[in-house]
Amino acid sequence: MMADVILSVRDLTVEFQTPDGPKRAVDNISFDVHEHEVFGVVGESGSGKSVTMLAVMGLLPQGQARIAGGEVKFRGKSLLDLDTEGLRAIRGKHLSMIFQDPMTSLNPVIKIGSQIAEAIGLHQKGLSRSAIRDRAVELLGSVGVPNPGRRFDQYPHEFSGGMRQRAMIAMAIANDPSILIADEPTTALDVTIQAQVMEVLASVRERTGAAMILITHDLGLVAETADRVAVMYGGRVAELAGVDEIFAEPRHPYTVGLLASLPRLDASSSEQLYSIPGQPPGLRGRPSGCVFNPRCGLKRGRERCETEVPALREVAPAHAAACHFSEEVGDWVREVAAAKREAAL
Amino acid sequence: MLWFVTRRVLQSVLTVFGVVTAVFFLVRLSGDPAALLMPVEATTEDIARLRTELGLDQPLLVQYLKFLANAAHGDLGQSLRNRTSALGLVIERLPATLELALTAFVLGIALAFAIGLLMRLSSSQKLRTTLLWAAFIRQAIPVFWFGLLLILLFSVTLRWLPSLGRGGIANLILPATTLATYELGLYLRLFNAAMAEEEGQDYVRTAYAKGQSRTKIVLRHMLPNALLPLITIAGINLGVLLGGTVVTETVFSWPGAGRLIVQSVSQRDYPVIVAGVLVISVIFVFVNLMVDLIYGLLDPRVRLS
Repeated sequence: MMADVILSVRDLTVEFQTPDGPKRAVDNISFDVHEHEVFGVVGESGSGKSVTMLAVMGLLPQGQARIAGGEVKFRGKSLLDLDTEGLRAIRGKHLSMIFQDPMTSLNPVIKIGSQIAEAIGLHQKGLSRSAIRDRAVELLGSVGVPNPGRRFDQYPHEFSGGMRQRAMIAMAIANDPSILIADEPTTALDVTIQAQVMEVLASVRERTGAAMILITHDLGLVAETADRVAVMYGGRVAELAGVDEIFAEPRHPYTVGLLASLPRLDASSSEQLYSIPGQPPGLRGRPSGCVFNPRCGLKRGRERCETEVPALREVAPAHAAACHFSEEVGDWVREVAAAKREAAL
Repeated sequence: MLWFVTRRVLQSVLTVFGVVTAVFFLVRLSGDPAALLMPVEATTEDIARLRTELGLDQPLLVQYLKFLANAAHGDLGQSLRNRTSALGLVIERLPATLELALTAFVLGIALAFAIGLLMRLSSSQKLRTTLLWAAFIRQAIPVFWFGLLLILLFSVTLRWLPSLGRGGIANLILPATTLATYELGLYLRLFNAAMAEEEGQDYVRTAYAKGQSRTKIVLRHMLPNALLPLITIAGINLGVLLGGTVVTETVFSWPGAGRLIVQSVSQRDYPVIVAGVLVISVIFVFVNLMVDLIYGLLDPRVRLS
């Protein structure tokens, strides 16, 4: 039995103002996040994954983007109906966010410790200054920052990239949030540091029991970390399933393409890495029908792909895909693989 | 920190030395002061005698070395006009300049902060646009003309305020307003641009994600960052103001150092020019040194390097 739904997104649509009028960066997307799980959101840049999370947090850039429709519910309570004060009470307390670039996400002129203390003080009223400080030092220590007492009084530029991201994590978990949204938390870091930061996140989750939404373009990271995955493309959810199912039996041609473009250890080094033909669509030039249709190998000239937007539908138990011909994906993958073997012989 | 200060002080001394040297030679290029000092009917012999007397017949390099030797003892020579210490003349005028410059500077920058923060915290787009346009228009009006307009309105038509000279607060109001509104326009536009730039920074988004309020984000997070570029400009500008606000001082017959130097230039009273430039460059360099130190206090990244 699945745990309770903690965050529910229904038909969320986000529009950006462009010179040609409003354009949908996020188009009718729906998903649920359950208690304690890691929910991965995968997609290329511009697929709408970060925008979705900013919309959930109420952090869309004002005047440029707006929520044009849909619903976001946290524990059954609508977030989109909240006023500023109501949102403030939830941000940083129940829902907190870790951003991609720890270099710019911390204020350069405020001490690391004060920035963490700020997060504590905002949601735990009545704590004394020294109690807040103690808690901030404890948090810094808990995310693996050595010498937390001394580091408390240092500025962001005195921290390395990895240490800054740890400080960001400390800030995000300051009030034991129920959901941690990590937006490409390791993208800006060295490979060796990436693993350490993911370990810190794992141990933090184990301790606090928080659910995590992991936004990334790194399929490997998703395979290692996530329980369930939403694959996003062109502002829509292409496929949504448990991580094992999606890797073993993808039901959307885009997911197939993504998996095929992963480098494999058993492939010979002379073999060229697969890449999906064409470019992901920009905000302005979204194709009609299925957004993926101009790049899709399974389309085979079928008109329906260009005229009808495929709904996200259940194609197997707990496995949803937004493809008119999802049932053909399995055979198509085997066909292509067979053809490739033949060509190699 | 100590090394930083020492290095900056040494740089400052070199700068002042360079400026004075340049001015010393440039002034000499402008023509013979002896010819200008003598009455029209003076003979060539009279002029030659005066030149010997003033040491102007010696080679330029010798004159320069003599000047340096005297300057080292604090003697910058005598005014060719009134035969009193050139440095003394300049220093006598300094309080008037300081009074006007500091009043205008403090008024301008304080108002710019108050209005700038109001603009950030207010949700009215109309208010922002109106204030920015007002600042823009004031900046486009030349100082002398704005000063004359003020005189016309408050001295001539309304007869509320005196238009000339230095005395009580009443005398200060018009020239200080002339300068302060110009400063206000400049800082307001700069401050607004700096704040708008900070608005889009990632750390601002982080602060919102923590649940912080708009007011606190503006005051605690954005303001200190927006101050950095502003302080650099303000420092240079304060230096310029303290160096004498020549036009304003002239329009309002304000007895400041700027006006003295302009008068000395037209009279080729070069010891006063050199003394004036020396004093101004010392002030200018000192203010910039202060700006660097304040910068270090505000931005921890500068402090270390």
